Amino acid sequence: MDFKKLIEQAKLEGIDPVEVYQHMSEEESIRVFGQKVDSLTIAQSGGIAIRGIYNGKMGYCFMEEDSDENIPLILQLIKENASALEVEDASKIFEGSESYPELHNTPNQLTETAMNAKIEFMKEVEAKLATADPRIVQVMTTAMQTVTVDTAIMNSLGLDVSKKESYTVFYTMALASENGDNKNGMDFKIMHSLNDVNVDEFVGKIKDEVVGKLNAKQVKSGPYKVVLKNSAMSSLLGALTGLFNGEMVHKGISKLANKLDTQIFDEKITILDDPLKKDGMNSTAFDDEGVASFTKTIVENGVLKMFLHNQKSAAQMNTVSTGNGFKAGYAGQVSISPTNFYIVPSETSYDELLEKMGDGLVIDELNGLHAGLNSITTDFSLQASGYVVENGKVVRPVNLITVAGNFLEMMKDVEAIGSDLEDQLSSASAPSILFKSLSISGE
Amino acid sequence: MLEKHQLKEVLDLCVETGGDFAEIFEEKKITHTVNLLNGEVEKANSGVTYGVGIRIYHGTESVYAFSNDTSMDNLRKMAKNLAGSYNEEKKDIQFVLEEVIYENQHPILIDPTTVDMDKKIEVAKLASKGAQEYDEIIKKVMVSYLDERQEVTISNTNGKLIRDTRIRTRLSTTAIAMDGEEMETGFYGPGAAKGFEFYDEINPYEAGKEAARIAKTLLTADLCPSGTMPVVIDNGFGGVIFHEACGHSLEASSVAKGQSVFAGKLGQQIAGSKVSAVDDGTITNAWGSANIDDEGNFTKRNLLIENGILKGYMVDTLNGRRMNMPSTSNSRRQSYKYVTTSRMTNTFILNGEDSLEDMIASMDYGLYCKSMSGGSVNPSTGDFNFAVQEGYLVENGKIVKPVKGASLIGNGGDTLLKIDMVGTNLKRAQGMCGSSSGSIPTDVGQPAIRVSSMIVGGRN
Repeated sequence: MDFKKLIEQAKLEGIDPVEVYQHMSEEESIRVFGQKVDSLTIAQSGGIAIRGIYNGKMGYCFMEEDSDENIPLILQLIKENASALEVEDASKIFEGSESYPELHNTPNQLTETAMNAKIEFMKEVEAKLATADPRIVQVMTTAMQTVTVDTAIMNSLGLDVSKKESYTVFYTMALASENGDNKNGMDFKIMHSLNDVNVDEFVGKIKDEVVGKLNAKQVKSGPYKVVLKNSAMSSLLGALTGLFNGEMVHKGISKLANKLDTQIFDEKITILDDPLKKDGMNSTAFDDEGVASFTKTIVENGVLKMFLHNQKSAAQMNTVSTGNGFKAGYAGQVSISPTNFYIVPSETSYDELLEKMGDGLVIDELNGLHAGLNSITTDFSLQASGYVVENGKVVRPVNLITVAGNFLEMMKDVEAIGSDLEDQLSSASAPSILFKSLSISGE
Repeated sequence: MLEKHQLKEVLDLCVETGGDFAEIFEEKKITHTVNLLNGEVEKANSGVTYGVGIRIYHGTESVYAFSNDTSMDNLRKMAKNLAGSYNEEKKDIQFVLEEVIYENQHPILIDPTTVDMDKKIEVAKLASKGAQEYDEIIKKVMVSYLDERQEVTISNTNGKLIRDTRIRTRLSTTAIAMDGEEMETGFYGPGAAKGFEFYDEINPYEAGKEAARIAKTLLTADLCPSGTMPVVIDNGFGGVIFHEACGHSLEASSVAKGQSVFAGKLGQQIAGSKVSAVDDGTITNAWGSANIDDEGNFTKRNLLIENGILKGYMVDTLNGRRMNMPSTSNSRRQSYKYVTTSRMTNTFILNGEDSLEDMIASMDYGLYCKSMSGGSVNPSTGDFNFAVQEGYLVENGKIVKPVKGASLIGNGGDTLLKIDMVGTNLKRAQGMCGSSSGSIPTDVGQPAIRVSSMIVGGRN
């Protein structure tokens, strides 16, 4: 589509300023099963989202058919959607930041790697995992997905920025079975070249995990000392980043509203949102409104220092955008999301955390976060699995228990933080954390 | 949309190199959403998604490509690129595309794309009003109005060419009740495969009120106790228990490769003998219904469980090849950006003979769950969970008080066998189900049921 033409015609129709956001993505996704390419997906897709001010109000629309013939329809939808608004929309079209940071990510060589080499690599992993232990009855899937995204934002106030991002995720899932008990386990790697993964190490870790979960039993109900392992801690934190979302704060829905500069968590907790992190999954030089990225301390030694804002929530709360205005998919409106949002790790290793705990539980998996967690009150009761720990050592696996609590309360009473911060596929990550007492339901 | 001769040309290219079947899925979807905060329009968005997905089968393997560049040059390129995955002689595949004409089983009276925005806003405002006026304890009300019109054309190398237009409508209300530091949310979101006539059938004001009622009930509820106890789960969205504990594990995507706890169990008892269940994509204008599935097969009513005995799975054609079973017309996807696979449509437990009163009276100490709020399952282990939205503690056969914050967990293989009473008040409810082929509209449903023993994870 000719964006200059779109912008000109929009102005003629009284839509000014106006902005076009373009998103183009290419995807290659390979799945190996039984030493064959079970499925392959090759895709290229994209779309544009257009927004503009009409009679003082912001109208939005999106379009996938990339043709100049759609311009009249686009302008009509913007006018219609703008006219419907009754609440003053504080969204702003932005003229651009003075300067933008440079990222130092490792180039993704896998966009240039021959598909055959990837397939051979995946077959090797699958074969090694399938024979790693007699109790592994199947490698359920071995998959590699490479995505390249081009994003461009252009508006009538002079903003004209673009970026290209590329990532590859590789994952494998194995099924183990013994005496009719099935367990599965998976692991993933964010890769930049096929040499990034030590196959034997990767396979060994999945094998140990999946076989270690076999014959899990419940524990008795009651309060337990619990280490929430990095994976589980990250998913819980990730489901609650809305607490720090400026829009939720403005609407009075976040329980952290009015808590700026007060002690909200244990003083051992420091949380950063770092869009400039090297090779972070969500590293970026600017957000979806064209605001330059910077590293932010959200919680410092337990004290709440700032919220995440886009242009709209910043205007509503008389502050400036923190560069966290992102869309969920190109078609969505700009909401607020963290980038690389993480709890700063300590020096204490995972094994030392278990020693510190002595007797208790490790929980490495939480399920049903979309239903068993109230993201407003932060009350949760979640299906969990993990291990029983006695005298600082793992003694047996546990499943079909629930762990219940309130996130804001438990974060005030943290016994120790681990050193094992690892990249997750979502925006939030955390090291393992030892909590003094969480409520467990089981037998 | 693409012409017949264009589809034919692309399909022919797909099977040049040894593929034994090819399919084109073309989709155009118009979406309108309006969001209200406390009765005022806060956001409105609309747009059009359009694209094509091409799939080639080679035995039980498959390759897929999608794009929203639907020029013939690009489609030829995609087809050749995909076909390049195989390197064999062309199989003897000859076909003529003939359009299947059929009678629409889900007639739409008022196409929402023809309705003025003002009328849509009016409906959303009614729902908001219903919630806001319910009680002064209700401090925030969010209403989301959605309508979409999805046009699909499916063609394949069996000569099939078939079209469907799916119109869906949903009105969701989230009410937040606040009292000092306490805050609780209630959600209610009825929907259907209907047009704007849906709002002549449901009362938007009452729908909003229901969300507010739930929020208020929760605000005054005590924390749910923990432990193993009998549980009565009421009709409608209570059916999420069957969806999680059983439904996902009966999808061919898990069963075909032996990755489901119910693989290889056809003809065996997997549930209590009072349990019969179906997946029925044919119910007129239901939220999870359509004329055809996303492979172009007419939807069916499939018996899954009869008197506790496993009778069938939900099968798509590709997994059907592995299982040596025909498609049950359960292949679905969110859009052309997803490879279609076996999914649920409207999946529910059929009526039995027990009364809800008897079920509650039968519990010395247990939980009565009036409404649920979703869950998840690991189909290969069968471990599942789902959360109680509105629950009541029962003592000595009587409802004592509302309780909140509970999750129910269990293992599908185990819990289904413990369903020992099935009621007579079958009702379905609407949800969005997320899985490998994206987020799709599905109905869950059941009459009230009793599970003799379940793990209740409460906070008390």
